[in-house]
Amino acid sequence: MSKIKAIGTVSATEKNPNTCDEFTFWLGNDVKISPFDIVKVENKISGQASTTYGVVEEIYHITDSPGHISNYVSSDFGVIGAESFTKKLSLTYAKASVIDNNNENYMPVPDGSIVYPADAEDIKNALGLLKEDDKKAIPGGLLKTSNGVSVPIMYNSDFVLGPEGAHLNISGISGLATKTSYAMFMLKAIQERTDDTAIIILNVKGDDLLRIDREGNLNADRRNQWKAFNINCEPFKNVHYFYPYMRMRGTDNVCSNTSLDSSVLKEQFADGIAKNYIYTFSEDKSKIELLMSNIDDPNWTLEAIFNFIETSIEFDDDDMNWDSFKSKVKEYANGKKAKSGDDKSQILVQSWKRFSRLIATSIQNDIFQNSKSGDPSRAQVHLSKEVSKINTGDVLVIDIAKLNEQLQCMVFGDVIKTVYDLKHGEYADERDAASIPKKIIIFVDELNKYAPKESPKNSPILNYLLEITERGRSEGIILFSAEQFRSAVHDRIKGNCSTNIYGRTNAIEISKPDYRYIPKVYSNMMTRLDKGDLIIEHPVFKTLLKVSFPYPPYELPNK
Amino acid sequence: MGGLLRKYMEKKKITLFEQNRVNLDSYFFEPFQEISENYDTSKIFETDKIGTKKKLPLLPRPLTNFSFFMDGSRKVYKIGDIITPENRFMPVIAGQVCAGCCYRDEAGHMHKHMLEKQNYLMLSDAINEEDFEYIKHGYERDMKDRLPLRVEKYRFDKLKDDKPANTAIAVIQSFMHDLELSILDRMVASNVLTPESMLILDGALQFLPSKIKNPDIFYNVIGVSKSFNPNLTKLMKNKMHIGTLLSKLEFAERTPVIKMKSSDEKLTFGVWYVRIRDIYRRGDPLDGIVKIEKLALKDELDNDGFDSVLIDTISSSLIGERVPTCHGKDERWANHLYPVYLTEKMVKSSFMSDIYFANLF
Repeated sequence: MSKIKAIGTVSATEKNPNTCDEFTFWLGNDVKISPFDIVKVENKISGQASTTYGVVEEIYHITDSPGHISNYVSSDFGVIGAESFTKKLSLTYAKASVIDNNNENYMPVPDGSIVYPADAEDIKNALGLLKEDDKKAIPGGLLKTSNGVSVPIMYNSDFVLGPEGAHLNISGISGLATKTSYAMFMLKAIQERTDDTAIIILNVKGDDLLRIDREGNLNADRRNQWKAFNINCEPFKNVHYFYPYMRMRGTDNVCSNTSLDSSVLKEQFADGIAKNYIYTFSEDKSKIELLMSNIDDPNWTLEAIFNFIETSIEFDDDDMNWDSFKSKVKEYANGKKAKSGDDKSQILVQSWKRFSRLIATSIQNDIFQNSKSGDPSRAQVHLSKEVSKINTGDVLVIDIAKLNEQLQCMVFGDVIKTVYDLKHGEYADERDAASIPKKIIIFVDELNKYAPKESPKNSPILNYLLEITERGRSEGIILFSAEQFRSAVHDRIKGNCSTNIYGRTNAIEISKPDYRYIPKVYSNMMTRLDKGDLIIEHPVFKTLLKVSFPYPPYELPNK
Repeated sequence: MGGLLRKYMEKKKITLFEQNRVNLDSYFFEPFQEISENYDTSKIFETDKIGTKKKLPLLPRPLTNFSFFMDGSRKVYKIGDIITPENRFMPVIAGQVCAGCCYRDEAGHMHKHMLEKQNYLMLSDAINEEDFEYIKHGYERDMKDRLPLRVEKYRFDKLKDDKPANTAIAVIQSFMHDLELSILDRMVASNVLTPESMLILDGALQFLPSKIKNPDIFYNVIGVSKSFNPNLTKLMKNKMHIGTLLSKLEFAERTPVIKMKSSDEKLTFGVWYVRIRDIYRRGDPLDGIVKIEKLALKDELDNDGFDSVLIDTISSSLIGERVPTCHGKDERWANHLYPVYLTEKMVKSSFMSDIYFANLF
C-alpha cells in the first residue's frame, strides 16, 4: 500500500462511529474522488492484517462554522468576496460503504487508518469480478475511477442467463438513458461469448435496430473501447428481420410497414434475411386473445368469448378467414343467433357487441390477411412459425414500431408464447429438442406496455411474462427488458430480474418505493447521469456500480 | 491509582486523602491579565500627536505583517488533599500545560509550527524540603513510563491568595508562560520572525517581565488581549475609566500608545487599543476592541516612543484579520482573531482527556 499515494485518513467520532457496514475518512488537500470510487484500508485485528474495501457513497465538505449566520458574520457581515488572510478551517470527508474484506474481518475500520485508492486488481477482488477470459464472464461495462483506473466489469453468466439468476431490466428516460444501446451491447457480448443462446429483439422505435448486421462507422477510439472486453467490434451475425406486412404503396415497391430506408430494406430482402409477417385466421385464431390482452375484462366476458371461439364448431371451419370471422361474430352481436335460438355461447349479446367492435377496429391492419400469398416478392410468413425455427446463434429482429399499441401487444405476446411453447415441447413434432437453443433471450423495450403495474389480472401476456420471469431461468427463456419508468412495471416482473440497470431518470421517479433500497446519494446521482453512464445492480457484485459502455458496432440510423 | 503517590507520602508520614478527581478549570475565575497599573500618561508614547484616537485607512487589498500565532493553555485538576506532619491541610493539584505556535502560509492555510507540552503535580511547600525532594525524585522516576511529569512546589500566602488551590494554579499558569517563552526563544534563534512575518501572542505580555532574560526576542512580537479591564483609570490623565474612551472608538480607530512599566520597573511596554470590528452591530460597546502590547526596545526607549507608522501598520494588519471569525464557536468571537482561535484549538486538542489524565495519579 505504501507505493500508492494515500488519499485520506479514517475518522471515527462519538457521534459518527464507524461500523461493520461503513466508515468515514477525511481527504487530504487537493484530493479528488467521486461517488462509486473504490478505496481500501488496512484493518488489523488480533495481529492479523487484512484489507477492507469500501465504495464511496457520499462526499461532504464542512467548516468549523456552526451556521450560515456565522459564515455571514465571517464575511465582514455580508461582504461578498470578503478577502481574508486566514482560510476558514474546513475539510472534505467521505462516507464509504464496506463491500469486502480479504480476510473475513468485519470489524469496524479503526480511527486513524490510512486510506488508499484501489487499483484495478483491488477492484476486481473487492467486487468478486470474474476475469475477462473466464468462460462465464459476460461484459457489463467499464468502471472508471477518479484516479484514472479503468476496470472492465464482468457479469457472471450464471446470474444473467441462468440457472442461478436471470433476466435483466433497464430503466431510464428516453433519449438520455441509452437503454437500447446498453441492451444491444450486452446482447452482442452474449452472442460472442456463448455458444448456446439465440436472441429475439423487438424493434419498437423507428429503425433503431434494423441495421444491426451492417458495419458501423466507428473511429479508432470507439473501436478500441471494445478491446477492453476482448470482444470484436463487429456487427451482429446471423440476423433475420421480420417486418409487418403492408400492401404495396407508392413507388418504392416495398410491402413492409417499417421506417427503415427502402434501399436498405431491399438489400435485406435480396439477401434473404428479411421477411414480412402476417396473421391468418386459420393459423392464428388462438392469438385473438393476445390482441385484447390490455383490455379490462372484470367479468371475464371476453375470456368466455375466447373460449367459445376456440372450442365452438361455429368457428372451427378450416376455410374461415378474418372476413368470415367478423361476419360470424356480427351474427352473435346483432342478436341474430340469439333470436333464432342457435346461440349456444350463453354469452350476453351486449358482450358480443363489445367484442365485435373491438375485433372490427383491431384487425383492420394489413398484417391480418385472409390467406398467405405465394408471391415471393411479398415474402409473407407466419411469425410464430419462423420463431419456432430459431437456431443457436440466431438473432431475430421483429419490427413492431409502426404498429399500434394493441397490435404490438399481440405480436409480442405471439413471440413469447411461441418461445414458451417451443421450450415446453409444443413443437416436438416439428423439430428435435436438441436443436432448440439452450437459452433464448427476448429483448423488448417499453415493458410497461406489456406488464404495467395495474395490468388486468387475466392478461395472457402478463401471465406469460410472469411464467418467464419466475420460472424461465431454469427453462432457458431469458427476458431483457427496458422501460422509461421502472415504477410503472408490474412488481413481480421486475422483482424477478436479477440484474437491474439504471440510466438517467427524474426526481419524481426516484421518489417512488422502487428506489427505497438504493442509497440516497446513488438515487440522486441517477438524475444527473451523463448519456452513456449507467448504474448497475447484479447479485454477484457487492455494491451498485457506475459504468460506461462502448459505442454500438453496427450502423445507426442517420438522425 | 493513588497507590504510588500514597506510598511516597506515607514514608514521610504525610496523610493523603484521595477523592474523585475533578477538573478545576470551571472553578478558577481567570482575572484580567493586567498586573501592573504603572502607566505614564504625561505624554503619548509614539512619534505622532494624535489626540484621543486616530482613524486608520482601510486598504482595498489588506496587507498583513503576521505569519505566526502563539497560544498557551493549561488544564488543572484536584487530585486530593494532604495533612503534613505539622498538621497543615493542603490540596494536591495536577495540571497539563501546553503552548503552541502555528504558522500561516501565503495561501492562508494554518500549519503547526511548534508544540510543547508538560505535566505537573503541585505539592504545598508546607512539606519538609528534604521530604519533598524524596517524593519528587521517586515519583517522577516511577511515573516516567506512565506519565512523564514534574513535581513542583507552590507557596500559599494567606495575605495574597484566597485559596491554596488558586496559588497552585497560578504557578502552573506561569509554567505555561515559560513554555511560550521557550518556543519564542527557539523561533528567534532560527530566524523565522521578521518585520513582515511577525508573531501574535495571545494575551498580555506584561506577565512575562520576571522571566524575560533577553527582551530583544520580542522585537517582532506583539501581545493581543481579547479581554481587558475597562475600569483602569491610570491610563487616562483625567482618571476617566478606559472603557469610557473605548466605547467611543469607531471601527478602524485606535487609541494613542500609552507607556507602561512592568511592576519591577525593568521593562517598558507600549499599550494601545484598536476596534477591529464594526460597533453598531453588537450590544456590548467594547465588542470588537482588542488591546495590544509591544515591548519597547532600544529604539523606542531612545526616541521615547514608538514610531507611529509601525503602530498604524500593526493596527491595520489587525483590522485586516477581522475576517473570518469564530462566531458561533466562541463567545469571545467579537474580540478574537481567527488564526489565534485556530492556534488555541490546536493547543487544546493536544491535551489528554480529563478522565484519563486525572486518573493516572
